[in-house]
Amino acid sequence: MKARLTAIILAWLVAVFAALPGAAQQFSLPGAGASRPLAAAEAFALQAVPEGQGTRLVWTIAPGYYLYRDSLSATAADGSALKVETPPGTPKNDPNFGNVEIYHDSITATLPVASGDIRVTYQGCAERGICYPPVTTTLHLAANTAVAGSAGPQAPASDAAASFAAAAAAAGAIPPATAPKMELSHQAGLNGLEGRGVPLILLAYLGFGVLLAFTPCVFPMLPILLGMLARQGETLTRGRGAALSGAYVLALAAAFGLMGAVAGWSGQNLQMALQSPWAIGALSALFVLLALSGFGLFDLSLPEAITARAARLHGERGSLLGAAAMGFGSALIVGPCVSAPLAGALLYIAQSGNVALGAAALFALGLGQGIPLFVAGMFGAAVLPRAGAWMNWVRPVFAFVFLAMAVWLLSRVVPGPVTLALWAALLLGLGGALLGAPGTALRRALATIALVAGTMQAVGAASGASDPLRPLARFAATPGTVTAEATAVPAFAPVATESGLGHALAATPSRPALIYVTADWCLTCREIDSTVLHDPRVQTALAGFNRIAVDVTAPSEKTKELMQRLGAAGPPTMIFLDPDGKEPAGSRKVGPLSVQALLSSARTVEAPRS
Amino acid sequence: MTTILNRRGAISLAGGAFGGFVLSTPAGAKDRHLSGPSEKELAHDPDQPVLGNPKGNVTLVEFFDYQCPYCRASYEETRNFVLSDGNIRWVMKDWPIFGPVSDRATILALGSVPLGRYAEVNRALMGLKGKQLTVKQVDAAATAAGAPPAKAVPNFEKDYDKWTALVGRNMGQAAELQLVGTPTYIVGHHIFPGATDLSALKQAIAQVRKG
Repeated sequence: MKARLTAIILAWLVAVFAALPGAAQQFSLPGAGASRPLAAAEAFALQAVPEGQGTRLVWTIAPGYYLYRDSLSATAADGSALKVETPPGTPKNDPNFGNVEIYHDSITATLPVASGDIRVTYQGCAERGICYPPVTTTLHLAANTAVAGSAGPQAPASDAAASFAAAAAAAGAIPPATAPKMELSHQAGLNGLEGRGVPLILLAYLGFGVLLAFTPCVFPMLPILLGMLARQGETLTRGRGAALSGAYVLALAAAFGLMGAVAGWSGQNLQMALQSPWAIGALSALFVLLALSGFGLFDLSLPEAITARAARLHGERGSLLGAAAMGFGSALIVGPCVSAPLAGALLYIAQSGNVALGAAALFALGLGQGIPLFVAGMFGAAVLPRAGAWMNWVRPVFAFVFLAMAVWLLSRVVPGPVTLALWAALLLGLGGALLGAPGTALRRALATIALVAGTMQAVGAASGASDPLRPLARFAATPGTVTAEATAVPAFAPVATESGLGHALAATPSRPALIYVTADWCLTCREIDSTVLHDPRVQTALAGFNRIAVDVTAPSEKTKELMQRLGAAGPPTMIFLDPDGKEPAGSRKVGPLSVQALLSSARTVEAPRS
Repeated sequence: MTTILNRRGAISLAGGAFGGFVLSTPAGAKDRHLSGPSEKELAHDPDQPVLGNPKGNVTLVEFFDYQCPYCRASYEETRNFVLSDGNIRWVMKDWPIFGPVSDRATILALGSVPLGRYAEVNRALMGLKGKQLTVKQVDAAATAAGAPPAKAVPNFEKDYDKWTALVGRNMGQAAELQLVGTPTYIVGHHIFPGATDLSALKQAIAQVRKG
């Protein structure tokens, strides 16, 4: 439990230091250049020449390299296999090789088609003793035009590798895959707002904010606001309530606007910082403090100097300032909480680099979130009873709410069973407190419910369960179902650098790819892992995919670069590439997603089936 | 706007300062330096079965495929060297590149770990002849080595997540290190692509031991 959190923090620190140039792990290839194997692109160069109703495929094979005859294959755009006519090869009969036919120098095969997008696969080795993974390249055949094999669009790069790649491509080879071959479409969660007028963008963010207001994240602000209003006691009128909530909401929106400005200025991903175990831990601690204060263990008050200063202002202005300060602070609470939806907004702003628009858009978002709060503040002011005994019991109720928020936040960074144990403690405590208080039948019923639920969480924690909504899952599952479930999780090959991604993509270029940006601390990612990715329909749909994970649990300079290249603001982001490396517009998924959403994106990159 | 571009430029330059050697050096140029997985990730993956002496003071990493002819050709020689040295951890990282039969061989080998027969199965599979093996051949080899598919495959499936993640990490590392194919040996920070003279590996191991 604790060990894991420590491990995450340590991993993060290690990654930060590993990113410093001096500390990076370096590998070298000893020996002279001549002894190194060629890149597959140089070893096996492919060219296509139209010939009558068909196409000739010509491979130029570097001296000392060879292709396996049985490895040559081709498929049409619809995925159907094409017959490749190949000449007999040289038999190679070696104890270790068995009886295989190989080609040296060059080989010409024929395809029965003259046009269309054809994917050709081949595999070979070097006599010096190394075998290459299969290479697949897409030929865009147009009748009567000779084409060189192309592995899709090249990412622009200014270094020598790019010119080397260009030369290789011109020579009919497949470019080396140091740069990922991708054609990205950065339209995640933004619904094509680019190019629309500023008022429309602001209006969209305002609406988006109103929607966010009805997520659990904004809920803790309600007790904060109502608590503040309740403290006004006798002087609270509807106008006063409106003024205070207004100040609170405006400050909240201003804080979001500031976040937008920073995102627009730096182009960096604030979400990562907001979701770091440090931020989550600090926030949980703050909630615990608020709760303890609610239980009356101590009085949480601002330092003397500040309160004195506030008091010197007129009473009214003072409390307005207080409301504004709380609103500003609340944004820091809500920020990490709504990070997934916020990611799309920050992503757009960071990419556009437009500070003013970024600030304005997030201000609108904050305002939208505040509208329901403002309404609650105004009418809440009218219906709240005037001071009295209710103040004494409402504080502990809020305290329990704050503790629940702390547990909920911590559940992102501690293992499941610990979360269950915390819920158990909280529910049992709540049940005990309700029982202890003199009360009605309703109160006793609530106490019983809390005690039963708490016991279930405790039993679940002891059994190692990790889903608070299914604490007894461990007892219900039979070994058979566990196996079936485990067998089904698709594996993702993890990469951490841009060139790593390039090679991972090049490994199976004939397949669609799914790049999944994920992190241990990303709660939504864990939900996706345990639900969406376990769905049999998803497994079937992803079976033919090249699945690559970009794990940003420990952010480093390398992962930051990669994220920038992908245009991803943070986890979870799912990027779907078709076999040509193109990302279809609107297919990207940012934040929580449903099985249906994943399936519909997956369908956009699959080879059309006839 | 200028500020933003400058900041972004600075970020990508900073990245290029230590990663750039790789990207900007065409094959054939002088020494190539790669940043990649850490020593621990590469040589001490907790899920990876270890051959030779698991407590050895140096690790020989080999990326391989059970059907790769060069991997098999050098297997016995490498094994004899590892055993006679007695102080080498031999980490054979599965990188199945030759299709479904290679996948099957990897499944049988990793599924034999809980049976305590990994070393035997690994050796039996590497001892098969012919570039293209059949499922029948690899199943028979595993059975002869004490890990029949009826036991090894359910073992693999029981820990499916663990094993597929292990192979996934291998493939990720191969990609990060820009490995060309199998076999590739790694000692310390030195990468030896393809069939490699034992003397070169011995020299690198001696160098690591000297520190």
